[in-house]
Amino acid sequence: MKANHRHWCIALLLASASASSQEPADNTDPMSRIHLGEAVYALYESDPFNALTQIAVSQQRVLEPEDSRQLNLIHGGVSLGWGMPGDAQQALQKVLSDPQTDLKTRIRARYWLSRLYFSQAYDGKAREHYREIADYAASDARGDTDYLTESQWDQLHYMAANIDILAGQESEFDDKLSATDIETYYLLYNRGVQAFSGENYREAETLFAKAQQGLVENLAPVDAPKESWLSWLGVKSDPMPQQVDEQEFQALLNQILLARGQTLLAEGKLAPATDAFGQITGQTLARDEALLGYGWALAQGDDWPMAMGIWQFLTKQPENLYTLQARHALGLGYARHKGYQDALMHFETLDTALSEAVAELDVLKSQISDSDYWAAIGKALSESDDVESVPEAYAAWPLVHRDILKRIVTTDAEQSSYSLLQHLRTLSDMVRVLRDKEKAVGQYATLIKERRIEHARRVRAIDTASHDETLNAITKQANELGQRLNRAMEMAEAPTSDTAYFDAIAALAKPSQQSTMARLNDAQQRLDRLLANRDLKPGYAMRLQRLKGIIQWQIDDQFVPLAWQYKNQLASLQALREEAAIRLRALNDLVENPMIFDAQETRVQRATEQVARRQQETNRLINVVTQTLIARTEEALETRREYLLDQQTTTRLALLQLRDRWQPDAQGGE
Amino acid sequence: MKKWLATLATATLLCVSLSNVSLAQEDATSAPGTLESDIEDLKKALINLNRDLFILEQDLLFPSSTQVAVYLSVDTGAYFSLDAVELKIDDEEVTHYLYTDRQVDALHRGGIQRLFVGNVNQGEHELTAFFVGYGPEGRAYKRAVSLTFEKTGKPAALELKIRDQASKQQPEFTATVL
Repeated sequence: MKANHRHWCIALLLASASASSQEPADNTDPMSRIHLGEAVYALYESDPFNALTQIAVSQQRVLEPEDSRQLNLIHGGVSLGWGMPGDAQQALQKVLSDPQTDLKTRIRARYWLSRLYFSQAYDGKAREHYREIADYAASDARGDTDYLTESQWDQLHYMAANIDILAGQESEFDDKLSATDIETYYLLYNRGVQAFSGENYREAETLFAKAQQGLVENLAPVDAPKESWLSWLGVKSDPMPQQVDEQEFQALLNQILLARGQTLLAEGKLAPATDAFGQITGQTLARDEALLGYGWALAQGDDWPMAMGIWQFLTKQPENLYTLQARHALGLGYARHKGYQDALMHFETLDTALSEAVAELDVLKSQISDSDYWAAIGKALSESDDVESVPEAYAAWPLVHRDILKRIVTTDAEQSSYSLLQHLRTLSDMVRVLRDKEKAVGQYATLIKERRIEHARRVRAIDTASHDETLNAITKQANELGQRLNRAMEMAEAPTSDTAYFDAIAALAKPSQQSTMARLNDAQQRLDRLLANRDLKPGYAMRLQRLKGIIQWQIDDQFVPLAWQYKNQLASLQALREEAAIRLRALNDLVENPMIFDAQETRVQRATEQVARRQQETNRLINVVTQTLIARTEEALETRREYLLDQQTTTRLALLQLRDRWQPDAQGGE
Repeated sequence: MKKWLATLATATLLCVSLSNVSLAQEDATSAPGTLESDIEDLKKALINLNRDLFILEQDLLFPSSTQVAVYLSVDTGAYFSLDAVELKIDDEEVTHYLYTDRQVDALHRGGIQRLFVGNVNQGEHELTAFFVGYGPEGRAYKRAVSLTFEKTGKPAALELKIRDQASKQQPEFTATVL
């Protein structure tokens, strides 16, 4: 399967969503496609909160059934990515339970469900959905698997293989991952850890060595910009399959080296173990702890020189709990071998260091007991784009107690408060969002208030009665024109005589023609008057007739087109009058209804109340999270304090014993 | 040391399995009343609140009687790499949008961007969009498309689309009333 989807172009989670958004079927509402497309755009362009908001907005609109299913699918994926498993499950089950959902959409829904259940450690359910997907892929003769991206396939196989490993079974799924998938090395590492737990050190060492070699040879770390939640969705693909995020690469390599070093120590191979530890960058705490323990194991086997060599190495490292313990061990080692002066020196140094560590611890304890300390951490986490960023409050943590911090902020420790810190981050995000919303709602309230004032002012200025009169006058005028036109057309259609016909068409004569006709009529009257008194040449009458004929011919020629044109103009005038009447009615409604802003104001008021309620709820949860964090951290610090004080007592006792046993002056030196 | 490693084994397996997960769901259950479920409820409420405020804002700032929205979509877009879109309504510039790679990617993945939403009077208007970017063989490319539309009492929605004309190996730009 891997080979088949290696050459895909960027295959999308939402391949079908985009397809449906680009190719609307006939008779579908084009706005449905737009609403889905807006949600898809937000998915890739925005943060999860805004993407989910856009999805919720689109869900409020009228959608075609297919678009609605795709929207639910996106909803499920994004909700899961934003830590809303309940909401995700609901949306994805809706997709699955719809009988109209096509097979590929079902597969995608199953993919998200399997990830959801895996992330919540419901392995059986995760596997059930994985099995459905794998069976479908295996049954497809064309080998078409592009309904999931390459990265999504990798995550699925990794998940299935990991479930097997946790159950202590051989997995058939890890073969489906290739050498350029980082998941391959996570699996090798996990299998190595499993072998180590079963005290099968040789196998563990082989697996760790294979993981280390494969990781370094097949993958290239690149400094990629962080797009955490999209990477988690598996919809982003790397430009090259072998390129992986540098931070993830280094963290995994460190983990492998550490585990390999510990396995080699367990096998008694000190040189390769220290070599493995030496390659670790930026993760010295675990290495120091491992070396300290190994030193004690050597001492128990009476290999004191080797043990003291290791402790010596540790005391030269930046100070932490294990280097302090190494100094104590070194003091004991010297005392045992009668190096009293060195032993004394180490115990004295340790005593001072322990006093400083306790003092630092007390300062730290007072800092972490303050809610503001955690609020600052939440704010720093919330404002950072990088999920791995380290807030300033962490950096100020004393070096010697960093191991406690590590246990608190990471997932791989018993006292982990990782999830609480993530909650704190989310809640701090919410505080920020709610503050913005509060501001926005305030602006809406001001806007409505201003509109209400402006409305009242305009109402006072508007004289709707004069508009009514104008519209009535125009209507009357238009009706008269229409009547004149109809009369002329009727008379021209069935004239009783030539004169009646010409009189009818003369109604549409142009002004110039009408003045010519008036002049000709005057001329006719003058000719008639003259003919009554004396004889005139017939040429005058003929000329007058000819001129009348010409003008009548011109009017007749233009009559039909002009009548048509005027009719059309009157019709469009009628449409405009109707529209004006509608607008006038709307204006009258507006003027007569000063309560139009009440509904808007009620909505804004409701929103204001909601914002306040959510702020209250957020603050309550922040308080719960903070108090739990304080209690847990205080407990861890108290345990450390007791330990340090015990250690100091032991150290001082050792110092007393040493001073009793060894008197340099009396013995003349060591 | 063994105990520590045993802890490491279990914890790390879980840790690694969730290595890329920004989820904070470590508990298998998220029963009502737990912190997880309270936070999820709050998130849901916040999304609904944001949605309501978004719609309220639209209703207040862009009433249907004057609202015009312009959407942009890209269909394949192999012959055109989008850089910016300048939009004019009745010869007046209403937006000049520069695209980031991420936004272009979102468009290529089937996203539709609401490029502009604003208010116009009822009646006839002319929309002109200028697309700036790189055409076939990476040449600088600028094309315009115009559309006359009638604004009525209902919200007006217009779509600008960039698609490929395979036969001509050129991009095609269209504007339609939805």
